[in-house]
Amino acid sequence: MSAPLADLRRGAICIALYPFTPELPLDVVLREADSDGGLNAKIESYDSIESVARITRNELVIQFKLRPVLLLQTGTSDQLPDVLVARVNSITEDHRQRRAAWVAKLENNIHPLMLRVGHEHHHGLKVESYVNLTSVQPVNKAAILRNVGYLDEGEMVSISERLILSLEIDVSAYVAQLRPELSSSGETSEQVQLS
Amino acid sequence: MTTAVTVPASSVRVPQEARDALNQREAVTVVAHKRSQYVLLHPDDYAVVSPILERHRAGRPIPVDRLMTEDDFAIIREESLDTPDAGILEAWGN
Repeated sequence: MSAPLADLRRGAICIALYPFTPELPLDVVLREADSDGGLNAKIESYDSIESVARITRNELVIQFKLRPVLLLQTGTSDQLPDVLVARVNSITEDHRQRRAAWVAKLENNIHPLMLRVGHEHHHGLKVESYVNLTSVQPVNKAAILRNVGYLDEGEMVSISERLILSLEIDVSAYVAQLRPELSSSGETSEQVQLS
Repeated sequence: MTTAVTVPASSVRVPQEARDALNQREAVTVVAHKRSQYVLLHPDDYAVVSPILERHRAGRPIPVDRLMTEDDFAIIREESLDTPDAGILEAWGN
């Protein structure tokens, strides 16, 4: 049974079916009915997107994994089938040995695109992990197995800051509205008068 | 290179370990209660990153690859090689 919709709040950490992005060569599924009315399926491999564009098939073989994800949107409505999530990965011993500077950035909370999780009980993860805000995609809500934890409001502020960077969202007009006293040159109106 | 606020060196106590690191052009993170409070940079390094900081401060987008290090690229490559775990619920769930 899938996770109840009421559990799919923004900031929830859930176990979900997370498909990997298809890469070339693409394995395309060919389904054919046999003489007994049964169904046979075989796979053909295509090594260029041009060759895929010439065929009418539309079923691909993709890899997937049940993994923790962070819900970036509220998924409690039954009117929307999908919800946008970010991928959660574990910080491994190999990371600690070979990527010590990267681990230190996570632990010091200064990585611009990733956030450490799993070190607080409410995250619901058994291993220290990170949310990768460069790996964001929708998942079908029926493919969410269950909620295991959540990020609190302060942690979700950190997520929002990193999403602005990873999605390259231009918030300059919004920032200008919040700081109307700044001119485009960055000087305050008072400084302009004094100069 | 200019910064909005400058303070005299006599007002700041920087431990020798941090000075040595800065002289080696390494960033120094100042932490309090396990959280980073400041990051100290060598002035020449600040000059390199200040254009990005100015764009960020203005809310302008920055090409995402310019925010990433070689470690980040390697980590993301390794993520794509991620293999299925046996017993996902035992590994991750409560």
